[in-house]
Amino acid sequence: MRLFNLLFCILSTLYVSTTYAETEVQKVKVSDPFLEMHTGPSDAYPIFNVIERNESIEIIKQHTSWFLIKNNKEMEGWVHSSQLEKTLTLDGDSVKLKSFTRENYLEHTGEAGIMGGNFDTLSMMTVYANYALTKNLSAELSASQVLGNFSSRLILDAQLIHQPFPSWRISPYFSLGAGQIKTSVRSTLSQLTDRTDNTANVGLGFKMYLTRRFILRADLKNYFIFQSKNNNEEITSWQLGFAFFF
Amino acid sequence: MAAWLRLFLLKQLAVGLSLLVIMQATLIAEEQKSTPLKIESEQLIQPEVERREVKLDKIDTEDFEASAFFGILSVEDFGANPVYGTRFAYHVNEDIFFEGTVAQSTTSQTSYERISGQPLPLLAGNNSNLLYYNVSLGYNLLPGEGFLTRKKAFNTALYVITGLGTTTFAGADRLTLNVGGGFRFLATDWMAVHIDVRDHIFNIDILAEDKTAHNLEVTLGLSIFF
Repeated sequence: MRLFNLLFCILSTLYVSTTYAETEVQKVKVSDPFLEMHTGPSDAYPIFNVIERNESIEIIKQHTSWFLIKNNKEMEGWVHSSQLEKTLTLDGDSVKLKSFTRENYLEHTGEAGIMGGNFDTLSMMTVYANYALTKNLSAELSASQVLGNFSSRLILDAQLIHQPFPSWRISPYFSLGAGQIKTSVRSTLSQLTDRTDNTANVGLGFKMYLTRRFILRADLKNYFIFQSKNNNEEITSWQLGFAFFF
Repeated sequence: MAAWLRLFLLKQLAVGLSLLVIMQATLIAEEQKSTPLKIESEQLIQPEVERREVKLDKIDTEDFEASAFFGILSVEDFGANPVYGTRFAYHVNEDIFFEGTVAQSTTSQTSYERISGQPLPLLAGNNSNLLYYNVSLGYNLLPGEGFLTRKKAFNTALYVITGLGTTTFAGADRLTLNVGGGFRFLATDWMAVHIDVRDHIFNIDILAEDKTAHNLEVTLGLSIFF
């Protein structure tokens, strides 16, 4: 019940912040040749109205690459950003509309994703986010969980990723990182105890640009776990996942 | 009245009138001077209003979606019970979204426990509580519209979703694969109603043998885009 109350609070705050947020309606004159108004924010939705150049419109909001607009006859519809490019960048050449094509991947600021695979023989899953330092280099933080029958492990890593050919559709990378691994043993096995160890890892993999902002990633890593017992454990992990860039 | 007084008053009146006339004239002249300027400035402002720049950062971007849901989760061997939780989604493009879910439920006794009247339950205390979280990838398979009346239509979408996560149940964290689908009904452009059907698949060894359990879940949710 407490969880439910918390949820209610979060949602009501969200509601308040979305409805009372200071949103300035942007009224503009169309400078593109024409705009096609779709009934929904996708190419799959039908076009029900076309707006000509010089008509004035109101831009209400944006959802992915689609803009909800209202024309002077109070009709609301969704227009793709590619058709609004001229209207939105009017007067200010420095203002660039952020579009997400494969070419734009080189200018991205970061990437986030999820992966799943194996850690030795056990199942592993990872959530990660990274920040692009240069076109080739990015700094990444990741959290992984490894689940076995007798123990579960939480791995927190920070790593540097180097992509020698970032413009390739399938772009290989190398990684070098360090972190901590926390092992929790199921209570029934009394001879083993919970512990936290430091780790270092080296890895390689590739990223493949699939479609608008969407990336496939394959990752192979070698973990060196510096155990308190003085004998280091070495484990290989492989994972496959999906990510998006922003 | 003395003649000198009448003359004096007349003089005063003449001076006053002439002053008034001069004032009026200067006022008119001033007005004439300012009127064309005003028109000019109005014309100068006019096109500026038309060519107003768009402040891209002032446009409200709604790619995130938060929701609360409740429903029924059937845990294999442990009955069908209420489940409630929360979801958080990020829409990458018009087709693809990432979603994180946290939910909880409390399981009931197995049929065998109930029939045999065992004094000791299989799952004691907190072990009958089930908590799961997962991260999933969704795809809007069939975007569509639902027509309420001749003039009122709502955007809808049928989506498929799959992901990985952990289920904490019966004293252990269990790796869980979830597969399912859902129907999103956008009541307004910022609020949606969801109907979701998921299968949470995990391995369980609580009843002697290690087996794969399929746990079906049907939920109803309300979400807000922000």
